[in-house]
Amino acid sequence: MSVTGPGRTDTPVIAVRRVPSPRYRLDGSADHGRAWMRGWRTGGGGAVTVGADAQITDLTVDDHACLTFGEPEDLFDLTAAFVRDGLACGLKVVWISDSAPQRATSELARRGVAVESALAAGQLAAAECEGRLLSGQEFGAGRAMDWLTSQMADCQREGFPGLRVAVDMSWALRPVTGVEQLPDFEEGVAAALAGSTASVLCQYDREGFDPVTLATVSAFHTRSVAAATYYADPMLRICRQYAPPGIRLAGEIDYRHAEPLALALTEAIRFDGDITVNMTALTFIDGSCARMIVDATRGLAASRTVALHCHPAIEATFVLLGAGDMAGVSLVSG
Amino acid sequence: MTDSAPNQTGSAAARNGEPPALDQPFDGDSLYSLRATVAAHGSQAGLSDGRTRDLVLAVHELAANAVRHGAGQGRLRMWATPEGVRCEVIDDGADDTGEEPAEAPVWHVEPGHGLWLVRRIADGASVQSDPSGTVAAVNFRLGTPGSPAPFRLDRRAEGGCTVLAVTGQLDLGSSGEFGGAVADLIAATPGLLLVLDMTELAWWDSSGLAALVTAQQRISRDRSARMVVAGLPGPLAERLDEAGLADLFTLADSTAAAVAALTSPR
Repeated sequence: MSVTGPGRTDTPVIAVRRVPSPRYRLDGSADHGRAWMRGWRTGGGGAVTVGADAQITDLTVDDHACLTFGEPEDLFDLTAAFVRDGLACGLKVVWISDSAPQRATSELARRGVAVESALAAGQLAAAECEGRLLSGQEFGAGRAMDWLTSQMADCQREGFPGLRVAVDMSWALRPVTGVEQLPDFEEGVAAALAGSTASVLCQYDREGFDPVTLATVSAFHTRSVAAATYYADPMLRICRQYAPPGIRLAGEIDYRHAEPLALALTEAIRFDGDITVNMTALTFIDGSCARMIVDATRGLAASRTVALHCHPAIEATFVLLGAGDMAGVSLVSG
Repeated sequence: MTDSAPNQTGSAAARNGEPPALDQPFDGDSLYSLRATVAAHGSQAGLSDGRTRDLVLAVHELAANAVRHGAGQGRLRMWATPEGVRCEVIDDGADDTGEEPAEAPVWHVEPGHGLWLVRRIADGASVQSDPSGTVAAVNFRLGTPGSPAPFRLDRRAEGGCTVLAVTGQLDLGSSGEFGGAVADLIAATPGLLLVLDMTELAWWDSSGLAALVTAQQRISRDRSARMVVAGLPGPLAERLDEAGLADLFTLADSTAAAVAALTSPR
């Protein structure tokens, strides 16, 4: 990985991983036809076209990205990847989270981010929105922009080659005065970032915000980011996990969803390094899907490890299928 | 594969012609609700959380087999008795091609696949085929009669060996504690000679069985350590055999025999 210092005009890709973007469909059968990546598109009228065509690991300097998430697990996972890659490039990283800073940093640490050293070095900061974007539960686009530009100035003065800011926008779902200035703020961010060495990741809960607000603010972003989702319905969700890299399964899975599972596994394997299969939110897995995961790990190079995180009852299924005795496979109860 | 379960729980009720507590048709689209129904009935019949999950997985595997490789649909019948739960999955045989659904090859046991997994987790499994179709059955017993002793681990030294006595149910609720205790012993004791005294073990579920397998695998990875399973009650020894896992362990009739086996010069 390399990062370009201030003054360069080209925008380096911070994460070197290239993500294939198959527009995945199964056999065209209607019951499987959920979108591969979720996001929205606005287009025409000269507006920036925003689609969920970027992965969190693809963001570059001066990007103003719009992240939509569906559940806290999504938010923490994608943020951890954003923070991890930023720190790895020597950038300063600030996260304005909706949860207490302590919770925010512990969620990052749980996902493999070296939080302690980065905090100690002043390279990472986690903070609440009060006193930054808000003042006494009042929002003002001007004040929020002042805060951002001061962060950019501080970062430059401290000698970091660039700044990454993640902002959880969930505060705007509460009764906050001045929330109507949100589009002004997003527009201001877009202007401030152009040609700078800073990038901002605005985080919107897609269940909480109405589509009109999302469509309005999305126009000011250069990119839209969402977790790559291989399958989603009320009973099952299969998506990529970014930190640590792998896949995440939630709900119940059986042989009828073996195809999206196979695709998710194939893509996880295609990347380098160790793989995590996060099944902590999975309540049922049948023999054929468990076997598929075991077989996929069997084909990996000896240098790569696979961690299977799951409920003890599901762990038992893997043990009885022989996963406990396979080199490089670890079973983690959670 | 015959009905060789040590406890033919509920099968007497089935044979006596008692009406099942549940008689539900299923196809590929209704496996989710089938699982939810089985979970509710298993729990209501008194199965523990871990045992209910095992029942759901076993029934799912049988039903999925009928859907994928048999008639494409079938019926589940379930009986609950004070001794346990019996589920029968009825597969009417081949699809509508009119072919004679003789001894259906779809119901054979292949390592790692449906029926193989069912035999690892059920307390008894059987498959009976005739020209009219196949009936695959699983039994799950409701633990020991009376109130079982609460789970407990007791450690003692005996004849140069460490004896870990397991009392009560080794299941979803206790397998973590058991696994942790074995891992700690391996880490703390170079050249560990471990006797698992199972004389007072009441029953296990798949988590408990998996914890035993994991313990043996950990011991095997540590080349200086050895483990013998002593005093395993007869029905559980038969279960271990049915599950195809007996070869993984060294079994002894008593703790004394286990200590002798571990300390005699090899």
